[in-house]
Amino acid sequence: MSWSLTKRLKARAWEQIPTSLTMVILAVYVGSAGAMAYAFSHKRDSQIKTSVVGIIGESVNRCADSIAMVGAHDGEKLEEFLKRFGASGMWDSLRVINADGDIVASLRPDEAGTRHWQAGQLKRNWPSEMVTEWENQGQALLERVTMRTPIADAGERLMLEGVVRLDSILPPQSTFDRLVLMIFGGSLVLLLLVCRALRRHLQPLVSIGSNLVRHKGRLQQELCSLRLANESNAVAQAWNQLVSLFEDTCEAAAQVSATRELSAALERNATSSVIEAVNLVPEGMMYLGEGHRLRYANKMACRLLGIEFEPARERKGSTARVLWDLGVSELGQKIVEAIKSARRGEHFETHSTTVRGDEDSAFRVRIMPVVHQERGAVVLITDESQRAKAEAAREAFVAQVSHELRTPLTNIRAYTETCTEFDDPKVQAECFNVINKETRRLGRLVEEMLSRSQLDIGTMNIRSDDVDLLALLHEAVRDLRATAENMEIELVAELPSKLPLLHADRDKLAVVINNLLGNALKYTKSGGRISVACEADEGGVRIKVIDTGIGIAEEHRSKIFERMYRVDSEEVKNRTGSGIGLTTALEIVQAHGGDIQVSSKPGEGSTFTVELPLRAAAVERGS
Amino acid sequence: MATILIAEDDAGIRHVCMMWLAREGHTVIEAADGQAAMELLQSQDVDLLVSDVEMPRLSGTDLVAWWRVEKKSSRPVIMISATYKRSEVDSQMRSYDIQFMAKPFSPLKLTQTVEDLLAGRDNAATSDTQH
Repeated sequence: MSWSLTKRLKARAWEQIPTSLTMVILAVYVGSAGAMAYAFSHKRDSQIKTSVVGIIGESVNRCADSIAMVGAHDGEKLEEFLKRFGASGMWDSLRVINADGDIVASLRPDEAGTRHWQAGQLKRNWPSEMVTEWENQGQALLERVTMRTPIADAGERLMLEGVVRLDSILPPQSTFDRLVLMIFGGSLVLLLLVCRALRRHLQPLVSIGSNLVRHKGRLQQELCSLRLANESNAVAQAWNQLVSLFEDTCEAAAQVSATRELSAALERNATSSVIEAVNLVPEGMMYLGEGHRLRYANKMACRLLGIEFEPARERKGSTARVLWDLGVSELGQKIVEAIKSARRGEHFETHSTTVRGDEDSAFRVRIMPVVHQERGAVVLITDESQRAKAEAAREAFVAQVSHELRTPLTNIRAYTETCTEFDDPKVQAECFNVINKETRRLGRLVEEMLSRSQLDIGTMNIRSDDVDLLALLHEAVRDLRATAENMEIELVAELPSKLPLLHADRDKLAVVINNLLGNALKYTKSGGRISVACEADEGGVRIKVIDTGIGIAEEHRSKIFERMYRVDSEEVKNRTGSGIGLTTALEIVQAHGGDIQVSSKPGEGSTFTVELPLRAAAVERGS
Repeated sequence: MATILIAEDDAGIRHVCMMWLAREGHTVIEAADGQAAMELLQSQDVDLLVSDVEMPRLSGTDLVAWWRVEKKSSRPVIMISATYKRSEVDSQMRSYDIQFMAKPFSPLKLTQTVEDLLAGRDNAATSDTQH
């Protein structure tokens, strides 16, 4: 049975309730009244019948005693006696029966001499007995009372039998019965009137019930139309008041509902904002709930672990199982091991470990316990690959700077000491020359170091001024010529007689030229040649550093400007260098709005071309 | 007087060391990198080695290790280093009985150290002879 049909049946039953109730009340009342009348009547009849039966018994006994006293033993006397005794007319039959069952005498003369009982049916010692029998006469059942008693002191055994039909001696209906019926009928009429009045008063409630069921889905809207017109009716008045109260309640409920919806919306927005914020955190974040089940993983965690996680769908199972099912990367497996390691310490504060990933990648995994509503843990995964690379670069830079700084310092100290210890003017002159050269070398290193530092923190300032590029290039060649000669390398400046003034940072450009020349010297063998050339046009200047060094294979050319990159070959490894000189040069040139191009043939040499605009473009760098 | 090999990639340092040790009467030979120094050690009888740590082609630590292990030389060695990771070099060279001098160093101090080491070697040799 469908729900709608059940609802309709219930509605119909609800409508029928007042009528059914009336009928039930009437039936109960009628039944009760009938039963009461019957009980009273039956009690009265029983009392009368008992009295009548007692009278009958007593009459028969006295009749038998009278017969015995008068000694009426023959038929005629007996019949005369019976006629006088039965003159009252109450007896249906009155007969004397002998031991053989023959009727000796009777009120009905035709019965005399007939056999009433079968022989031997009479008992030897006749007891007095009274028998009540029912006789079917037409449509009615007539009750007969038969009284039998032996006649004492008779010559033969005789028995007197008197039969009385009760309906002939009892009144058909007493005044009491009429009174009961009148009361019953009057009550019935009164009850009907009451029910009619009650139904009229209940009709509004029936209407309300019907409307409530029919308009259940639109209760609030329909209730206004359910106001009852019969204001004189108390129920209608009460109902109308109830409707008003309900309207007020609905209005208040609507306000509460709106407030709740607003709160829920705000909460959802807040939760959404928090999730969005957590997703923007540049650290992988996972929340492991009870049993370390993966409850949440933000975008970075998913990226680092190589998994896809829907925040709305909580993943069941242990973290290890979930991550395994999600097909985590090797890094994920290592993180799971770290989590397991932390779990082994039940009361851990914060477990922190560094997990090495592929190649140079490194991740810091921090596992913090959460003991709030449930025991869990927050796992933060920080990608420290860049920091590790930066640390390695810093160490290499410090090592390089240490080496590069200590070498000119060693020269300056040694030659200064030599100058004071040796009296030979030639030696002293040589010492001064070396000290001067190394001091300038030291200055360039300090400048490069400062530039490097500024590049690292993104605060390099380009102090542009008019730069005599021609003089700058001659000076750079002159400074390194002694070094080149020591290395038996020819260093020449193939420069034009005139170059336009360049609007740029002189010191920074000096670092660029020095780095390129130093790089050329480093990778050019003895007997090689390095030349510095420059050409200018309306667009800018192009400075070329051309060497006959070991050259650069094509696959390395795009990488030699990367920080710390060094070509993996024996020829490069045998030369000291940190791999930051070209990086610094490129960044300085780019800060001027220029670029560095490189062309090379392995084994034949390389050409680095610095392209600079005449006026350095204002390139914003860092903060 | 002794034959001293100076292995140093910086020509200025090499030259100043040569001036000071030559003034003391020693025979000084020079190598611009580790590989060149190794070749000289194979071809000449060197009484004392002064070597930089970081050199092209072959580092000073590899050169000394080769001289000690392969050539089984117990001749004195002075290592001059500009590295700031002195402890790493110390741990590598601990078993080779060498003297360290950090850059920048005093050439006078270098000369004195050379003399001390050579004197110690001579004393040890004399002691061995006497025994």
